[in-house]
Amino acid sequence: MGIVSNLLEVKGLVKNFGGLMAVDNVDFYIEEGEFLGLVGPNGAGKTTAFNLVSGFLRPTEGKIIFNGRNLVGLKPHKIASMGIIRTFQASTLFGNFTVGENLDLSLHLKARQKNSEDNSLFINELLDFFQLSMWKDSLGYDLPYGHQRMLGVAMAMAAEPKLLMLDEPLTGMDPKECMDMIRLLSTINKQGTTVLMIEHHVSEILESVGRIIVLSNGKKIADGLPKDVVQNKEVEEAYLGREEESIA
Amino acid sequence: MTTALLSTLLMNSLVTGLVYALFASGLTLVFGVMSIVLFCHGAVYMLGSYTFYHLFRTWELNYLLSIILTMAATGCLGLILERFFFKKVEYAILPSLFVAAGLTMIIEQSAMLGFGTLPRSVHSPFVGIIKVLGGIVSVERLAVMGIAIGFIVLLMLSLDHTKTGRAIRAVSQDVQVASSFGINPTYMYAGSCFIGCVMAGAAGALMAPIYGLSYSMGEPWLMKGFMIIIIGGLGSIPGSVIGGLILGVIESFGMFYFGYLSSSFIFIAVMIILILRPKGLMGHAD
Amino acid sequence: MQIKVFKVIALLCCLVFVFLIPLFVTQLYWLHTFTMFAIHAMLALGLWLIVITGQVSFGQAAYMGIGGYASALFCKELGLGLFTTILAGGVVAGLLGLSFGYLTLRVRGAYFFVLSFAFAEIVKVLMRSIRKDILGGPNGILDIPHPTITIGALNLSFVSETGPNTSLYYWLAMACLVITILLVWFITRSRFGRELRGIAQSDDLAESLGINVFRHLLVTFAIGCFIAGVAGAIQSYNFTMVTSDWMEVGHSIDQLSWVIVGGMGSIGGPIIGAFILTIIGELLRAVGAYEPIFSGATLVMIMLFLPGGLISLRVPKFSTLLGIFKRLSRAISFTSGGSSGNRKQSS
Repeated sequence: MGIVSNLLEVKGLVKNFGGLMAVDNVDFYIEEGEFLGLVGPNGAGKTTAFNLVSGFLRPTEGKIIFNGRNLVGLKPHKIASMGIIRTFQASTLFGNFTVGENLDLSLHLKARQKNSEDNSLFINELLDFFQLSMWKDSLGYDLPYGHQRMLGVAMAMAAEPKLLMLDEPLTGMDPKECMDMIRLLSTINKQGTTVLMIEHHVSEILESVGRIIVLSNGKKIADGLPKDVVQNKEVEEAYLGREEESIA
Repeated sequence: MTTALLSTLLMNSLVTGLVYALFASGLTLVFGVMSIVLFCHGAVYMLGSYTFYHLFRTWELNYLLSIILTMAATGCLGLILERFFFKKVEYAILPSLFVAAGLTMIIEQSAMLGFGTLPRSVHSPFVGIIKVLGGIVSVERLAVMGIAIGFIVLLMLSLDHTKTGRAIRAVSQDVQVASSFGINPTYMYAGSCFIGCVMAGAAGALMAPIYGLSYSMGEPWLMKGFMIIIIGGLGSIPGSVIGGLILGVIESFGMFYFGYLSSSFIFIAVMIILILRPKGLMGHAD
Repeated sequence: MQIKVFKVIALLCCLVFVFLIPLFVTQLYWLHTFTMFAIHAMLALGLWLIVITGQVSFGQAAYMGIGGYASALFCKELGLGLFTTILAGGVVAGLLGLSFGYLTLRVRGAYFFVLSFAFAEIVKVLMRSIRKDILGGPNGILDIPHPTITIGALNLSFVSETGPNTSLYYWLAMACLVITILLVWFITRSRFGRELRGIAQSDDLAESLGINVFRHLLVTFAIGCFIAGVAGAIQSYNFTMVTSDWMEVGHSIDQLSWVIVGGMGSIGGPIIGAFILTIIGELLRAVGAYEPIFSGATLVMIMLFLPGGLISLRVPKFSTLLGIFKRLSRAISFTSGGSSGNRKQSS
């Protein structure tokens, strides 16, 4: 019993794909304002959990409670309108539109509340913040890879989420781009957005996240401060069991 | 409903159903491997029928030989289609569809101009009828059933047990993974087009003595083919067999009891099945 | 700003020109062809609207037919006027599209394509088989009376002693086409239209940004079917009949051809495609049996060599035109002066 209820609570989450338990009885919560990392080896069920929370998949069992409302059974756009905005690993943006148009589309949830002048100002602010201003009129397809992923995050932020869910935002980025991204995400978090981030390479995020949840084979095997999780034996085994991975 | 009647209707269902399955298996294979809709499949079927007609009736070759040669001819046509048309549009879905649609128009109209508008017929080498459970079925149709089953089984076995077959299946699952194992996707595309058109040619050859030939005979088959592969699930050959048999049953029994109205039944079935099972009866996620 | 004003004026001039055509084109055959073009362009626009969301509908001919049947029934059985029946035809087709879309727009791509065709076939067979008393069976509904519209004190009849008033039909079709163009143009230029094009690129991404993809697709599909229905209604008056032959697959293929050959890139595409192919279709009547070969060949050629459709052809600039002239003249001087066996490459 807590006085402050959590922003997101997941209880007993199960996703069964015809015999394959992608998510096996997972519980976790996120407090408002947290920066939470969701890690685990390939196939652990991280993206599946994301899809379940954001409504792209329907849970076999379990409850997902956001701001007091049960999300299970709601369609993704409804969940988005409630304040959960997620990004994707593939299809991060609308390639045939310019960067500016991409951001404008992302204002769908907010556009009606603002007039077009406010929208333009907001888009320019976002472009500035994500350092994409000079790319405003370039097509999404023409952007360098790192900038594409930045745009993906920018689009999510354009929707002014309460909970920002990022699916491996650092994939394929070089070390400098990784640092830029993490810095931006920390700033976003400090400005009040709750962030849940799946990341494959844990070392990059160890200093930025406040808490880490580890999934392996669909089960949650660790949940706590970064320093504790890194030293967790089970976590080490989960990662070392697959030769190509390492936790740090 | 007497057993005799039931038996006759069932036999009819099997004959058409199995050839439908043969036809549709080619269609679904190409979709599964290349993700394109072979809109010219009906035209290839028609060409198969006419080729068989010329080989068997005009040149008086052996029945089985005529069928095999027909299949080789349509197979080569499939290779031409892949190399000069589908490859050119980079196997994109919509462009391939329209290229195939355009080719169909050209082929069918040329057939009309070349072969005339009068339907033709060719006699099967088999004579006589057999009674099965009181129902009547001609030996000719039994032969067609047997050959169709043979070809389908051959297809399924070769996809499972030959190197090329397995390579084709790998490409249909995941092109990138397959090519990382050294499989050349373009060869496999050509292979699947070849096999697909071989199946259409076989169906055409088998049906020629039963239904006769006309230049537009491919149109209804194309549409039925679509229905079958949707019911069965895109890319699933067992699914197209099931779908083909379902269509055969619906047509035989439906026509007997409901007449013309029954031609809408397969479409109603498709809609119902897709609403209940959006990927078809045996479809895997594409 | 000046360019914009210039464009608007140019468009208005075109519009005036188009409406004045019946005054100087006296050959009724061509006037009729232009009327058919207007109807075809409406169908192409309706289909284009659906296709830019990423869904290809292969059954629009059915909605056109339903619009024709509904309009004919409202006219013959209920005696309603021209505009009411045309609107009714559109509404009925739109409602049918809404119902079909509601059931099927959960599936996408090839499944939707085949389903849309399956539905069209069902409608076609039904129109031939049920209620033959009012639907006319395979013959359809015949003897649809030419309408009369009353504007103030003026009674305009669509038929005279010499036959149907081709000019009036032309104006009716063109007016509806203009309205359709405006409607489709407004939709594609709006936020809704941009969201539709986003959906075509990635429906998951659109959904994650709060866009109700299913509803967007459904509304767009219903509008496309409405347009098809209106076109069908107009055609039913033009031909004084409507039959289920209108719902044959060939017509759906034709509609797709107009959109594809014209190009999907902008609103001009389906219009140009409908224009070119309708005109070519009429010109090829002389060649009769070879017409489908030409149409098929056009389709194949466009797909292989100009996948963006005719609209993607760039108007050559003056310098390019000059260059082409130069090459042509060089080629001509070669063939007329030199020996035919001596082929050189002109650079």
